[in-house]
Amino acid sequence: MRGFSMVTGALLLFAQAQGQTMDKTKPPQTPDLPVFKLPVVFETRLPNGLTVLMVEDKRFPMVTARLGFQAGAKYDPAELRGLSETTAALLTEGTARRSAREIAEEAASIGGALHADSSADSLVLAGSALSEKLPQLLDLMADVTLAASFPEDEVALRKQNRKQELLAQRADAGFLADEKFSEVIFSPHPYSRQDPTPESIGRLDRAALAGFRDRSLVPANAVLVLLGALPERKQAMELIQARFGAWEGKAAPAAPAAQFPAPSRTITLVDRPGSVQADLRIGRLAVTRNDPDYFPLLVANTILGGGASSRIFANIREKMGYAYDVHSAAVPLRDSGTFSVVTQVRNEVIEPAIQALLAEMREISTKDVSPDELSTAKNYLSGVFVIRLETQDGLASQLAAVKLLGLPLDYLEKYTARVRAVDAAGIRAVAAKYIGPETASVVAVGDASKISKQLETFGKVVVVKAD
Amino acid sequence: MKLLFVCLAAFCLAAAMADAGELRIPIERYKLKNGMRVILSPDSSVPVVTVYIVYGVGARVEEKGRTGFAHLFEHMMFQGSENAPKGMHFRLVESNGGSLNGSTHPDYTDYFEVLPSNKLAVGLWLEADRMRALAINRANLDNQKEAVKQERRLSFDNQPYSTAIVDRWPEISYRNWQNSHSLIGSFEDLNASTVEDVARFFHSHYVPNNAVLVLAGDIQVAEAKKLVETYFGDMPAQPLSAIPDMTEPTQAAPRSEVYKDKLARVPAVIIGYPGPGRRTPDYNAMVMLDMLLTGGDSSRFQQNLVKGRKSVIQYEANLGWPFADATDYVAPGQYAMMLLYNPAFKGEQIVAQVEEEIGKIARDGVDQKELDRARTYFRSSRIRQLQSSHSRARFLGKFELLDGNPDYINTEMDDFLAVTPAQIQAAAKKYIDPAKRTVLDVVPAGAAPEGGEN
Repeated sequence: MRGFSMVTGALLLFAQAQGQTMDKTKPPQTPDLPVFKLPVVFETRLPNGLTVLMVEDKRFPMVTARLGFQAGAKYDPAELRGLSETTAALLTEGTARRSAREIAEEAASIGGALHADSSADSLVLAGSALSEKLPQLLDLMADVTLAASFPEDEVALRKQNRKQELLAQRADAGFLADEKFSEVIFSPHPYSRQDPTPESIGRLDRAALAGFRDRSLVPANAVLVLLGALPERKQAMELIQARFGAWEGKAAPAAPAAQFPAPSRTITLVDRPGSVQADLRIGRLAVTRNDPDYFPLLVANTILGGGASSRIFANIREKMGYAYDVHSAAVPLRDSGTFSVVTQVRNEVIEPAIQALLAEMREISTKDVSPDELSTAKNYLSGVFVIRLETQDGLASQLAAVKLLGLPLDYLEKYTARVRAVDAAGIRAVAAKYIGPETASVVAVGDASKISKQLETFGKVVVVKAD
Repeated sequence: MKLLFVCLAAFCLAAAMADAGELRIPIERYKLKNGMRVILSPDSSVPVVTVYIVYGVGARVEEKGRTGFAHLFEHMMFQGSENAPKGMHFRLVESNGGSLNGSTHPDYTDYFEVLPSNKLAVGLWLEADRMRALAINRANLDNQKEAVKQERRLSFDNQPYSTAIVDRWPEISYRNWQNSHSLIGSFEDLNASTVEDVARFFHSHYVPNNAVLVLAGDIQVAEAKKLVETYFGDMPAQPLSAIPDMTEPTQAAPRSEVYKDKLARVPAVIIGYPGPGRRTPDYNAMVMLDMLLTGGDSSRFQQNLVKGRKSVIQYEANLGWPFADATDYVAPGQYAMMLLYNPAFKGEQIVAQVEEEIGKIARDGVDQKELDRARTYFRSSRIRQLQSSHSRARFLGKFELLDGNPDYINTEMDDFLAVTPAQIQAAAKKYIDPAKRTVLDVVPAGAAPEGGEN
């Protein structure tokens, strides 16, 4: 990518010199991570409020686009769960001018793909095309955004298939665990309602979908990201203006109040008879990316369970052999966030596995991490950050997320420096706040007849059905 | 439905490539004295390098009583080596800002490190140290047996459709044990594996003359060559063990079975047909046929089965499904697919609908506009995949190992795009043959129809 700067010269001289007196019993000494500069991001705003970001990338004859809205599931009315995701799914299934088939065929014939997806905070239309087809890609994106018609038969098919998909998803223990964990942490905020129900899907209709489109898909809460081999700036802006300029600028709906319950220790067991193992989530409410605690928490998470050299991977998996997958995650949303430890363990070892996890959570929140762990975690975060930006899709998604999460545009630019600034005292302080086990909730999905006794050693267990 | 549809993405890998004039992946290819094949593919646009090493050994060479061994061995590769004690591999890669993993396939096993480009030597040192002197001992083996068993419980035994796909499908679609045994293996066989098995497997397969090393990304060719020679040049070549016979008898009659799945809530049907030899004209035609059937939203399955008949909910298909796609398909293999369907239908109806869709192509051929659209979609999907150094390295390594020609990364698209409508029509007729079909109808336990079906 033009604009990425590289410092490879140092390595090469070094490697050459080393070749002569190679001691292959020791890991090679290498220089510090290369300095890396993000490509230049051009930002502007149309008179109707649409934010536009553009990045030149001429490596490949492709353009990658995102049109993101603050219109995720948290905006769904309680009785219409699934409204945002169903709107997203049906945007590309017919407009006033194009049938679903025509949209699919046109997208394929410009070498592209066009799909919308919804998450807790946002709804994102993602598209790509061969670079000379940018005007056609923008035509399609504007048409589905402004004039999606939600044809009756497409709505009916989507509802029918979504109910089946829900059934299939609910057969998955991990899905049930994530769902219950969100409920325990966020209820009654809409973040607690991750997924639709068959009943709420049943209540969706064309009017509800069109209403959501008109209220929520407005330029004021949207960001358009274009990345790739783009035409020159003036021409690119004309293409955008011609398609999105006349879009009416309305006020975006307000997000639900960011109020969340105080964390406390609860133990919830979702009974799934026949499970050969238990899916576990242990954690609590944490922070957004805007919070000063976020970067120390990110590094703390990496040390505790963020990778293959993390503490719980080394102890719970490699040493004790309790689990194949054991990791932790700091998940930032726009209005809040979670921290959790995630694993699946066989029924017989649930109790010692939870003991071991709680001990690790206590350890990191009461004792300083070692300098070695600290530098490993910082290097890891800095390195994989660059790797994620290797592809157009990677960079486009990151840029859209920056805007949709309300972060400053230099968030990506400053990411590495902010990781580097974290110290051991800062980690201990945030770990005490968000990782310490005292207020962590436990969610287990498994066979209650096999595991409830073991869980009771940690406190009162509420058993619910998997339905 | 993350589990079921992992292969849909993999399928897209099976195809597209830019016109040579637009995008050409540079390749420098050579061999060390010990027979190790090396591919260098420089691209300095992002300061990242992928170290990718692929060994010509996969689960299909396993011996009876040792199912799942190739995968167990892959785990052992992360347990330490002479100069990199247990835990160092992970720690060294991550502390240098990189990520890593390995994976086991029917015909090969691969390992990678993606690193900031000035950390290339770290990846090479780690790979060379374990190729030279893996730490093979009882403690590591016992520990990884547990990790693999836990992986099996998590990823297979506790997931809908998985045991049907991984354990049962190979058994009913193949007759030669080398192809039909479970690649994840049984607990019994995993338990029976000994330290001696691990050592024997290591010395006969994990040797330089059975490996391809690819360095893709921000490298300087001359310097990279020196580093490769330094780390790998002094390892001796070793005699390779014979590859077992994998040929399949010609299938004489259709096979069909119902699989009751305790965890599934929505029925699914798996359908397969014996496929052509790799890189033959028929292979190219089958890749294009598959593209027409399943490539993108304008494909026939999406438009006619999901939309038109409203019978199929989701699907995936591949030459080599479920463990491979066209990029690493090796005959004998199947063109196979899995379709999740609306319970108002029966599995046999879905099979009939699929064959009717393909039958239309066999009977009426393909119109030029549809084919052109599929070609464009295919080509741009491939360009997207070539953006990451990791993905480029995988293509190059697999094509060197399986074809002896990494330049397929630049040329195979021409072969696919040159396929004519008549060739696709002929391939549909020849390969989608109901007499050679295998069907596994996966029904939620409790809702299963009585008896089998044919």
